[in-house]
Formats: sequence, structure tokens, C-alpha cells
Amino acid sequence: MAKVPRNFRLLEELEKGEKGIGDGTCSYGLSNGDDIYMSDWNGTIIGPGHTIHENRIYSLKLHCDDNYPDSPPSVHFISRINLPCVNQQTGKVEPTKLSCLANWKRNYTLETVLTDLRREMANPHNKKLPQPPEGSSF
Amino acid sequence: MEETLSERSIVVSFRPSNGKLFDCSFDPSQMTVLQLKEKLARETNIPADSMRLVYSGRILKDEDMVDSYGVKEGHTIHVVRGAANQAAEQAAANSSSSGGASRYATPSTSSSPASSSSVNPFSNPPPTRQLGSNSNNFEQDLMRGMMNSPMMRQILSNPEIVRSMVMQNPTMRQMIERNPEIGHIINDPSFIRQTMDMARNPELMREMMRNNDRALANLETIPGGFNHLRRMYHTLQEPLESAGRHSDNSSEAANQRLAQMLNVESPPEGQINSTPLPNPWAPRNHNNSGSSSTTTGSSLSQTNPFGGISNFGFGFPGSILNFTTPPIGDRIASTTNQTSTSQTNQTSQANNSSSTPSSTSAGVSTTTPSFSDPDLFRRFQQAMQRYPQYLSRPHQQTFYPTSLFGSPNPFFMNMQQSSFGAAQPTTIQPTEPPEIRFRLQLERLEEMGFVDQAANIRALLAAGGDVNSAIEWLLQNSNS
Repeated sequence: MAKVPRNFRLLEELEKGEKGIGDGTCSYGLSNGDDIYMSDWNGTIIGPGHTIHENRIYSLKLHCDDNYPDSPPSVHFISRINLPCVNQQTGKVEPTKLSCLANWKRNYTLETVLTDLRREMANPHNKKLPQPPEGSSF
Repeated sequence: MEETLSERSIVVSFRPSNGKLFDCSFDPSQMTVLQLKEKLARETNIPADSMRLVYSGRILKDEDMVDSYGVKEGHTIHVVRGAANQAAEQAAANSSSSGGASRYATPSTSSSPASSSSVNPFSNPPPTRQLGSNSNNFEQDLMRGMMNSPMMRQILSNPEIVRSMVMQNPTMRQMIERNPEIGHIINDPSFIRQTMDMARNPELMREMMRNNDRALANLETIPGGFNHLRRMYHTLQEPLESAGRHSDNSSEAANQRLAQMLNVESPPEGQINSTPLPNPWAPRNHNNSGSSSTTTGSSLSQTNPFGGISNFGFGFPGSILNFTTPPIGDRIASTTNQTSTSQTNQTSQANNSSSTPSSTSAGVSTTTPSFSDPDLFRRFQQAMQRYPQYLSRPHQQTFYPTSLFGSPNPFFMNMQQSSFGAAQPTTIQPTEPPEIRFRLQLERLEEMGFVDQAANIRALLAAGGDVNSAIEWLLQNSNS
């Protein structure tokens, strides 16, 4: 199968994000609509139900460098969150601690990352972790 | 962005987090996000102030114009029900901190229709979970609202009045007369005050319950903890529970009827009872919950998980499927859960042993200092709360055998009753093939980029139809 070049791939993801195709728990889009390189993205994760994150919305920024999708995007939380895979000083998601970043595959998307993070929030070990007040940011 | 400058409406899809996608047309250059929310509030039943809109990874701010986010024709905005905005939260906090009590505190309130319907132990989950469930929120709100009226606050802030209210209730008075130690609790103003504090703040109460459950679980892990818990159970739990139950002669008859129904024979006098406990799920002529005909495979083969366990009320972990192999060592944890959540079904053996004032007051007097223990409050509240129910439905409440030896385990029955209500839908045997049953989930998985249908079906089967777990399964299996 032919490799989809970076920009086509990101355009595809942009369309998916704007049209809201997906399970509706994560949303993502370009942070600057004029950015023709489509490097900087915003993402939101709607906190999974029956966890401490219920009724919260977490904002993230994602950066896709030139090697995307061969290399994973870098992901930062903007909203403060207490998760083992998130650096508590910077909000950066540690690539080694999130399985989809650690074992990045070319067919993974930004949505994969967001849903994986959401799953991490709902993980029984994490879903009761005390969280900083809503609205605070890194 | 040329389109957004033109003065025409666009059609945008809205995707509520729990509901159907719908379309709405508006002119993004003429509308602020707040106005849009108000428009949407009519379509969904989410009030505008607790609605949040998410588009392209951004949370839309109320004061911004919609077109500043570059929303275009055919795009989708996620609609999320969030916590109410800060002003509303503040108002709620003020009102909830300003006093009052809930139905947990006073028997006079527990006879109101709203609360008595909520304490049916056969239809509702155990109280600890009940507090967190939505079905209860309405009642809590109602109760909080009622308790916040200045008059109620005044009344309830005076322990003396509360006490006289309690004593005016004939059933409570009887209970207190029969069990002097309950009277002590009611006479203790600090107890009443603390109960009120807890009762008017559901958050606090929930938190305390959780802490307590954890504390009990921790206690169990230290050496000798088991014995301590057992002692606590005998000295605190039983008297309080039995206080909320009057000795009822019909219980013997009811027990016998149940035993007959389950084909249980009385154990031979003076011998160790080695006959297995009956299987309550086995098909039989009469069933009392109306739902026990749906059986799970594992429980069919199950006959006696509790034979040989002594008369201490062992329960089993919350899942029906788990109970097939409960090692005794693990049991005390679930025992503490059971004792806190299923008092309704305690044996009347406990009742007999502790309904004599001498034995119970002896037991309780040794533990009087720990009446500051919130756990005790909770149990006392539950006992008070349930008491009227015993009067109205004595037969259902005392449907359980007098002895655990050779007779149906009451927890067994309890679990059967309480778990079938919830578990019934999942135990219905699927008749359609998985492709059809999981049609929606499959579509969703495909949307997410999982294109291998066979793998998707396998994942969904493994996850029991839950998309999130299925994704997990798929990712794990593709990673390895």
C-alpha cells in the first residue's frame, strides 16, 4: 500500500475533526486555520463518565512535525490534569508512558492519541486520582 | 475565510455526548456562542449555562462570535453537558451549606412518599451506590430544597426538637423503648448535630462513606483485623439492625415457606450440617423476584458456595459470576461491604440474640465512645430509615431463614434480588448474530479506522459490546 504523504494525511484528519467523525468524545482541529503546514493542533477530550473527569473538558495542544505520521506527534495538556503519563510541570504527555506514543504506528492518528489518553483517564488506576480544580492550566 | 463573511446561514451538525446528531442552521457572523447555546438549549434539554460547545479541539467561549472559530457548512460541533457555571455553583454551595437535614436523619421525613419509595431494598442498589446514582439526585435536591427553608433550618438546628419529633413517631418510640441504647444516641445532642451536618451535605456524606469503606478494608489487612471487624459487627451492627426490626412470629413461617420452596430440609439436630446450600437460581415453581428464570451458565452449575462457612454473615463479591470461587480469606472484605449494604437481609438469628436489652446494652456500652464514628451514623440512619418499611412489609423483610445452617443463605437471596434487577438485561441470551447486534458499534469502530471487521466483531464480543473496551482490545492485540 502506498504511503499517504504527511499533508494529505493531515488534511484527512482535519476533515474528520471538523466534521466530528468519530465517537464524539474527542475533538481536534488546527489551532490556526491559515497554517498551511498543519503543524499545530488543538484537541479536547471530554472526560469519561463515572470517573473524576466526568463533566470536564480537557484541552490539549498537539504538534505534528515534518516526520508525522512516521513519528508520533508531541502532545501537551493545556488544562491541568493529574495523570501518570503527564508531566506535572509542563503538561507534556511523556511519550514513553503512553502506549500509543511509545509504540507509534504509521496508521495511528491524532484521534488515536486523544482516545488513548481518554482511556488512560478512565483506567481504573487513574479514574479516581485527585484532580486540580477545573479551569486551571499548565 | 470568505464564507463566514457572507451574511448567510449555514447548516451545522451538533453532536450531543449522549444523544442523536441533529442539524441546526444559523448565521455564524451574527451570533455569539452564548446566543447559539440558548438556541440549542431549546433543542436539547441542556440548559445554556451548563452547556459547553467544542469544535475543532477548542471550547467555544460564550462571548465570542461563532464565526471566529471558523465553523463552516457541514461541520460538527460537540455539545457537552458540563457542570453548571460558576455563579450557579456558588449559589448551590451557599444553599447547601446553610443548613437542613435529609431523610437520612429523621424518621419524620422518612415517612414522606418520596423518600420511602427510595429505600426499597429490593429495587435499588445498596445505599452507598445509591447516593451516587442519578435516580437519587432528584430526591436529594428536593430534600435539600426543603431543608433549606429557614423554618426547617430553625427546627432542625435544635436537637431537642428533633428528639421530640423522633419520639412522636410511635414506631420510633417503640424501638427506643425496646432498645435503650438507641435512646442514648437520640439523647446525645452532638450526635444529632453531626448527623445533620452530614445529612445536609451529600458530598460530605458520600466522602465519609467512601473513607469508611476504605478504612474497613485497611483494617482487615492488619493482623487481627478480622477479629476486630467481627467484634465491631457484633457490637455495633447487629444491635442497630435488630433494633430496626421487631421480632415477628411470621418470620418463622416465612422461612419455612422459603425453605420449602428451595427444597431445603432442616439439618439433623446436634450434627454438623453437611448438606449443600440450595441453588436459588435453579428453576422452580415459584420465584419471588420474577426474574430468576434468567440464569447464567456459571451459576447453574453452582450448588453450594457457602456450605461449611460458619454463622457469620459472609457475603460474596458484587458480581454474580465471582461467587463461584470465593476464598474464605478474601471474605472479610466483602463481609464488611455486605454488612454495610445489605442489612435488610440479616438473619433473624441476629435478631434473636440481640433483641434482649441486656445483651445489646452490654455490647453497645463497650463501644459508646465510638459513636462519633460516622460509620455508625450511617448505619443508624439506615436503620431509622428502614424502620417504617418493616412495619409496612413485614413479610418481605423477614423472608429469610432463621439459621444459616442448612438453609438458604440470606446473602445469596439478597444478591439474587438485588443483582438481577441490574443484571437482567445483560443476561438475556442474544439471538441475533454479532454483526447485527453490534451494528452500531461496528460502524463506529470503522469510523475510527478499525477496518478489519472480523477483528472488530471479535473485539466487541470480547468487550461485551462496549466500544471503548473493544478499542482497547483491538489496540492491545495489534500491538502484540
